[in-house]
Amino acid sequence: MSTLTGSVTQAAQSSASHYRRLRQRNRRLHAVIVYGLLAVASFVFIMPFVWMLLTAIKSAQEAVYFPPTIIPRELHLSNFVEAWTHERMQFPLWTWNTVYISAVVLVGVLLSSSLCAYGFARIRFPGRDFWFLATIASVMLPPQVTLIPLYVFFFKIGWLNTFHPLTIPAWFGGGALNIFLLRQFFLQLPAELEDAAYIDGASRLQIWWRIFLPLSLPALLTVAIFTFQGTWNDFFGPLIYLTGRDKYTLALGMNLFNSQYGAEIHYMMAIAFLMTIPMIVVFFVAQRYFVGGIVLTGVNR
Amino acid sequence: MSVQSTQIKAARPRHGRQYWRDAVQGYLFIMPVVLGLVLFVFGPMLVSLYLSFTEYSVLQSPIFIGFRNYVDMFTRPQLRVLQSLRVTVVFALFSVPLTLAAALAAAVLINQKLRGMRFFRTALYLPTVVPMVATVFVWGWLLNPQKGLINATLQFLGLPTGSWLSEPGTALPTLIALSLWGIGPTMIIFLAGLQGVPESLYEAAKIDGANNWRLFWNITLPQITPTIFFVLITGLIGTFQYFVPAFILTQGGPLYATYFYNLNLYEKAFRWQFMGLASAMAWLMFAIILVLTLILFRSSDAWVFYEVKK
Repeated sequence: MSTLTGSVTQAAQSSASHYRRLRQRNRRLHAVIVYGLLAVASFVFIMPFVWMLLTAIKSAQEAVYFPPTIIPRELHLSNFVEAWTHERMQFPLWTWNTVYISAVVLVGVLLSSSLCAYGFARIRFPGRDFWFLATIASVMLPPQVTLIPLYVFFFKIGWLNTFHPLTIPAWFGGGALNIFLLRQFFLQLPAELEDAAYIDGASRLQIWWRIFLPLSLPALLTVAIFTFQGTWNDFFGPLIYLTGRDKYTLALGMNLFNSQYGAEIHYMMAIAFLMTIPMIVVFFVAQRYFVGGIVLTGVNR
Repeated sequence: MSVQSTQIKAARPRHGRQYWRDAVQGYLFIMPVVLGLVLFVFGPMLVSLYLSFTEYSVLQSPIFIGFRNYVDMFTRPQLRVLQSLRVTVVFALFSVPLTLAAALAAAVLINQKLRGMRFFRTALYLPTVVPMVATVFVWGWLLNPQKGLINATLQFLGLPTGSWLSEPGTALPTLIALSLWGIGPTMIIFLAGLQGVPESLYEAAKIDGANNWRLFWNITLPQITPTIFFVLITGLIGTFQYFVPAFILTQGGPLYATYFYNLNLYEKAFRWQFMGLASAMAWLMFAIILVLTLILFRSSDAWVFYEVKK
C-alpha cells in the first residue's frame, strides 16, 4: 500500500517536472509562432512604402527596369525636388491649398464640436436629448444622400471652385463622432471645477474656454489628429467641388500628375512619399500624445 | 455627473429664471450642430428625396417624373445600377468578413504578453494613416503587370504571374485582397475589446483544463461579439462608400468588373448630370443599408449576447 502511494507520488513528481519542461517549450514555440506571423504581416504591410521610397530615389530608367533592382544603383534624391517643382504641375500651390483647408477645418471642428459637446454634457435644457440623438443618428446617413442637394446649393450660391464647401460645414458641429467623443470626456470632469468658477462669477463660455478646453487636451488632440488625417487625405470632396487647377489639393494634383505623366513613376512615387510624410510625422508624434493623454486621464480618475 | 446636475435642479423652482437661462444658453452652445443638422443633413435629405422623383440637370429646373428613376434603375441595364450593386455586394461579402477575421487575428496576436508588440501594432496600423491616393498609386505600381514588383517576385520564384487589375476576372478579387491593408482601425477596436474580457474567465477555464483554442472559441469570441457586431455594421456601411481605388486604378473596369455603386452614382451625377437618378440611387443605397442594419440588429439577439447569457 505504502509502496504504491510512494510510486504514485514519484510518478506524479516526475510527470510534473516533465509538464513544466513541456510547458516551457510550448511557451517558447508559442512566442516563435506569434513573432513569426506578426513579422510576416508587418513585412507585407510595410513593404509597399519601402518600395515607394526605393522607386522614388531611382533614375527614370532604373525605376522601370524589369526585373527591378531592389537597391538603387544610383541615388537620385533630386527626384523629390524635381517632382515637386515639375513645370506643368503646381505642387507648392497645391500643398498650400491643402494646408489652408486642413487648418480652417481643424479650427472649425475643434471650436464647434467642443462647444456643442459642452452644451450636451453640462447644461440641462428641454430638447437636449432629442438633438443629441439626432446628432448621433446622422452618422448612419450615407453622405451620398445629401451630396447632390449640397452640390446644387453650393453651386447656386457661387461656392463651386472655392474652398468654402470643404471648410465651412466643419464649423457647424464638426462631426457627430467628435461631439460624442468630447461629450464623453467632458462628462468625466468633476463638477466642483465648474461650481468654483461660478462662484467667482465666470460665465459658461469662460468655463468652456478657460477650464474645459485646457483640461481636455488629450481628447482634443485625438479629435484634431483624426480631423487632420481626414482632411489631408480627402479625395472625394475636392474632386466634387474644386474644378480649377489653381484650387487643387495635393490629392487631386497627384491624380492629375498620374493621368498626364503616368510613365514617370519615379516622380509619382516621390510625390506620394512627400504627401505621406506629414501623416507619418503626425502619427508618430501623436502616438506619444495618446500615451500622455491616457496617463493624464488615469491620474485624473 | 447626471446625479450632480439633478441635485442642482431639485434645489431650484421648476421653470424659474435658471431654467430659462439654461435653455437659452444650452441652445446657444449646441447652435452649431443644430444649424449644421438642419442646413447640411435634414434639409438636403428632404431636397434629395424630392429630386429622386425628378429629372434634373442643375442648369434646368427639375421636372417631376414620379417613380420613373426608381423603375429605370431596375429595368434599364445600360444604367448599370444592378451591375454596380452586384459588384459592391460581392466585394462586401468577401471583404467585410476577411477584414474582420484578419483584424481579429492580428489583434489576438498583438494582445499576447510578449515584448515588442508596440512595433507590430504601429506597423499594422500605418497603412491607414497614409493618404488613400498615395496608397492607391503604390498599389497600382506594385501590381503593374509588366513592370510591377509583385509579378517580378512571382516570376523570380517560378510562379505564374497575374494581370491583376487589368483583367475582368481578377480585378475585383485583387481589390478585395487589397482591402485587407485597411485592417488597422478594426484591429485597434478589437484590441480594446480583447483587453476588456475579464481575466478571471480565462483563469477559471484554464483550471478546468481548457487549451488555447478552446479559450478563444468559448470565451474570447462570445465575449467580443458586441465588438464584432459594431465592426460588421460599420464595415458594411463603409463598403458602400468605396470609391478612390476604383476611381483611380480601374475607373470601374475592365468591362465594369469593378464598377462600384458609389462610382456609378458619382458618374451619373457629375459626369452625366443625371441628378435626379443619382438622388434615387442614393436613396436606394440608404434603404439597403437600413434594411441590412435592421436585419443585423434583429439577428443580434441570436448571436451577440447568446453565449454570455449561458
